[in-house]
Amino acid sequence: MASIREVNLDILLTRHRMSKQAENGYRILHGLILTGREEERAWLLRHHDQKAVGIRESYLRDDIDQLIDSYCWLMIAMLAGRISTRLPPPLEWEIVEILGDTAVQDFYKKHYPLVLPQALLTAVRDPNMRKRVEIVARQVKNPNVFQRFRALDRKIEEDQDIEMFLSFMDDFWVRRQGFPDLVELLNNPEELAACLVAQSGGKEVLGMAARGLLKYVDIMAEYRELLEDAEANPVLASAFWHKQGYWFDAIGHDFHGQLFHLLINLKHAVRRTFVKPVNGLKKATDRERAELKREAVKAANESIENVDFILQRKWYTPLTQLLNGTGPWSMDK
Amino acid sequence: MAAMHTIGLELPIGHGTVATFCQGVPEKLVVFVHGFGGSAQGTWKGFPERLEQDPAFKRTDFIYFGYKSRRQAQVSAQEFLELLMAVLGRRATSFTPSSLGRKSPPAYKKIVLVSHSLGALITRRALLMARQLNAPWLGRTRFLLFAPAHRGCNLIPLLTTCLPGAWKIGSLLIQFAIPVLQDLTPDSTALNDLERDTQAVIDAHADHNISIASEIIWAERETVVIAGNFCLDPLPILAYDQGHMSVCKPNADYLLPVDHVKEAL
Repeated sequence: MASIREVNLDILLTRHRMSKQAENGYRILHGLILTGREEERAWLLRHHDQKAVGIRESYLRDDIDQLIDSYCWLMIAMLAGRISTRLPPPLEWEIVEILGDTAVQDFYKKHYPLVLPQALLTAVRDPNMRKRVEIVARQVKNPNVFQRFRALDRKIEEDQDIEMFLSFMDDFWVRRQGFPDLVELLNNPEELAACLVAQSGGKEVLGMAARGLLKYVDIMAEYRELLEDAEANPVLASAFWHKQGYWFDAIGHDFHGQLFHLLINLKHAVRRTFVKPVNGLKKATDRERAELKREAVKAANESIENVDFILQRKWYTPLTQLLNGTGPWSMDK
Repeated sequence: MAAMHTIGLELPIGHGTVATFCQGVPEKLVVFVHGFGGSAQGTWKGFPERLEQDPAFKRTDFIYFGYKSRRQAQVSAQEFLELLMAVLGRRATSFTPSSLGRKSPPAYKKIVLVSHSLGALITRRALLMARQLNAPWLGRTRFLLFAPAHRGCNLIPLLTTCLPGAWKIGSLLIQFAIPVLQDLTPDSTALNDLERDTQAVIDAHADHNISIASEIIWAERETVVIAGNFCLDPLPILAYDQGHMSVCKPNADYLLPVDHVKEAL
């Protein structure tokens, strides 16, 4: 009978590594490595400033992102003590082959820095790192934080509204609409309300981005709660943070500033909204309408506090210290 | 203590539904159903770590059902029924990880549905629909309700207490045009129909396990749901110092929720 940790690994691999996209990402990289086409790999995995990424290339890179994401999950599960630090040999060979490749390393270390893949490769190669990971795993008091984090990450990764919102944050334009249009929409509460319920009629792209922003506000609240609950285990909390490292750290432009700008505008939109006496609640008294509005303004204020809390640099450090054997780990080096 | 259950496996029915499995042959199943503004796992914070490390639940599987709670309750009940029919039917093994080695669908001896707030309507309605389908597992099923909304809600506290922050903002912007609010209004058609249909099952002297709750737990500091009796439900147990949202979240000083799930099994 398989152990619980083996079943956990099976669940993670089936869900992430064996997904169609990650599998395709592996096939692409494995093929390029096997045939020694290093320049081709480096070109496919270049930084977008070197030359803009074409549509076909972006699909391939998305698949490679999914493959790397599946490795990130393995690292987090090890730190949470939900899988063994010793993976089945074929999987360890694959990790060394892919994450150890120079072009792939440039991609996740230099161009779009992510710490989790670096940590996994080191854990597979270096017994000292493995030992450090096991120490972290033993300190996990509440194994359910991992489960809560999975639910949270799933909301981010699988929601189309959030995907649209984040693509706006990443300076993408969809049907000639982008970040500045979302800012403008927030300045017009009536139009914003119409977009939030729109499924068609040319408002759907902005509607998705606006709904995505609202959902992201809740995700930030959940993220904060999770980081606070995991704070007793700073490395695990840091790993949770690094899973969104692309946004919180690697994106290279002012994610914090942009988000702050949107949330301030959202707060103003809420303040300017008049709660009609006859609404979805049928009827509400003046006092009740004032209370509903007060609660919404409070929620908007809290969303700004949550973003400030999450985007602190302190969450970055513990995982990098574990990786480098520095800070509290310097004795083990 | 070593974990006795797997990490969550996402199930394809509902919204964020997750299952955790015990090792070996399972004997019991507990299914959690959240309320308005809740989420599959968020509503039950404090439960999984206590249940999954308690030897009493060593042979128990858990499912945390998630659904879009803004929709009409009837629609969510239909979705919940689909989940139950799937995980308790012949296709059940397709929802378990292959490495668990379960060759045939689990023959659970006991099934307990645990619901919070709006989840009570969803659960009761889904069970009534399952009865129409003569679901073979009904005889082994019981249900336990935390702060049930089957008598309706005070809508303003519902919106200010139960909604996550962004929902409060979004609801305000769209002037609270949320379909399920109509169902949760005291004396709504949905609530009256539920009571009438439940009473009909009781009057038929059959299936009391799915028409009468095995236990009802009210929060002492309740402000959201209307506290009132429903058909032949037992007298409620009062959870002191708890509010509508905390009544279903056990912690080191509040283990009543876990104790009652254990009892129901």
